[in-house]
Amino acid sequence: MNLHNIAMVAADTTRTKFYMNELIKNKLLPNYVLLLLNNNSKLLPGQKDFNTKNDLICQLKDNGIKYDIASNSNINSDEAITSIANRSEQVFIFSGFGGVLLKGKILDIGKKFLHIHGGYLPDYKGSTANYYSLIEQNVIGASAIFLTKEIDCGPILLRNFFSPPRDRTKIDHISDSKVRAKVLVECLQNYIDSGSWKYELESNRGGETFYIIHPVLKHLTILGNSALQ
Amino acid sequence: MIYYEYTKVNRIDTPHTYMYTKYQGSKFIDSYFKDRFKSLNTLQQIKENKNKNNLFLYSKSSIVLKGILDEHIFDESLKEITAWTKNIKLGGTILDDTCINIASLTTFNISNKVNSEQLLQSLIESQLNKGDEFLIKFWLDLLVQRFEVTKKIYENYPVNFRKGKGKNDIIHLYCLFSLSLTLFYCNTKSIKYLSTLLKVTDLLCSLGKDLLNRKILPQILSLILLVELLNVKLLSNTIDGVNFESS
Repeated sequence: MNLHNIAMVAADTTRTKFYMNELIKNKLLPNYVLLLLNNNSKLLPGQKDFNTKNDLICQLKDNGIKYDIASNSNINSDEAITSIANRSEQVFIFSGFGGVLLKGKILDIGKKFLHIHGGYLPDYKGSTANYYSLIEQNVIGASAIFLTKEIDCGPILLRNFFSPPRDRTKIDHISDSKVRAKVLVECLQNYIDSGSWKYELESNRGGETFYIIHPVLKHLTILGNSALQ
Repeated sequence: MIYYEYTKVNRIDTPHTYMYTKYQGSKFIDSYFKDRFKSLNTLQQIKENKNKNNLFLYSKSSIVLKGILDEHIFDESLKEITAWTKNIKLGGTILDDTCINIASLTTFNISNKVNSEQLLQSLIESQLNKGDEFLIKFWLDLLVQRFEVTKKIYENYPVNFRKGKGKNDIIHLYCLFSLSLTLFYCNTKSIKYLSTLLKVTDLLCSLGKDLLNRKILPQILSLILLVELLNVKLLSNTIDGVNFESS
């Protein structure tokens, strides 16, 4: 089924690929997709290779999903903002390039941006939070939120813990994306079932903000099979 | 052989983003240990240092750090280095008269401009004297956030601790910051601070010997590196295939 009020902003990353696969598998098709493509010769954060772009376009065509390729791949650019503002859908699933934050201007256009954070909120905010939760508790998590100006502080629609991945060498591009995609699907299913956005925790306060994990600790997390503390 | 890239160029001039770093197996951990030992050896070669900045704080801190190391001597080869650091005349009452006026952490206010050196001195003094943990975390978190975003510590931070102002290449500020992070991690075992500490020490180890010699006390950085190595070793104790080799 097409989700008439829901669109998607999608960069050509491995995470978007996981999201699209799960949405298609569960017949939860966004009404429209704005594609942010990397036209440089260098990979951007969140990209593993350059094949994703063609795969994504094929998937969209095969499933009859309307899409446009953004004239400017920067989500905060005036061109991208205008494209989104002109759409009728009120909610956009956000799956941009790694490390990109939505600035005030786009957050003020009156649309909601549904983001799936890699980490259990509010405890694990910030970047690479699942590495930290593996070190501390041997679990990973994902949380669905609507984006606000404060990073990872928007109201929580749904959050879940997951068992640690069997192959920890693929956390960045596979395990983290997989659990986010699961939460995305469950969140959209809840919306369809209830007809409105229900919050698991509206007040997303407290917790700890993490920053990109140092490679030494990243390696220890991958090499370890249990919590390290 | 795996190359520990994070200290190979001056990381004040060329910061590393640490984004999506490649997994290289257990040999990467060996390369980290080897690189840190290389830095420790370099620091040992610095014979004389006339830099007396923050000597009082370093003196007090060195007693705490040596205490941590004494509890966990984890490698024979480290004994030589810890013995070397014990010979450093940093501890003791002779330095009491060099005590500078360190403002209480309670006097800092986010509504005012903040001088980084004064804040770091105050933070460390408070950490050494078991001061208000909430206040220590509040100010340290602000510095961590600023450093993680820019990979720099600036001379000053304006109202609301926004974008830093002034110089960002004052090496002893990075040394004070690494000391504060070390004390905080040892006290709380919160991994977030060890992660930032590793980045700050990468930056310090990436600077040339001459630069370090002129700007910091090599003894205190050696102690910080040893405590960092100890903590990484403690985390890796349960992992098969991670061997601590200092040679």
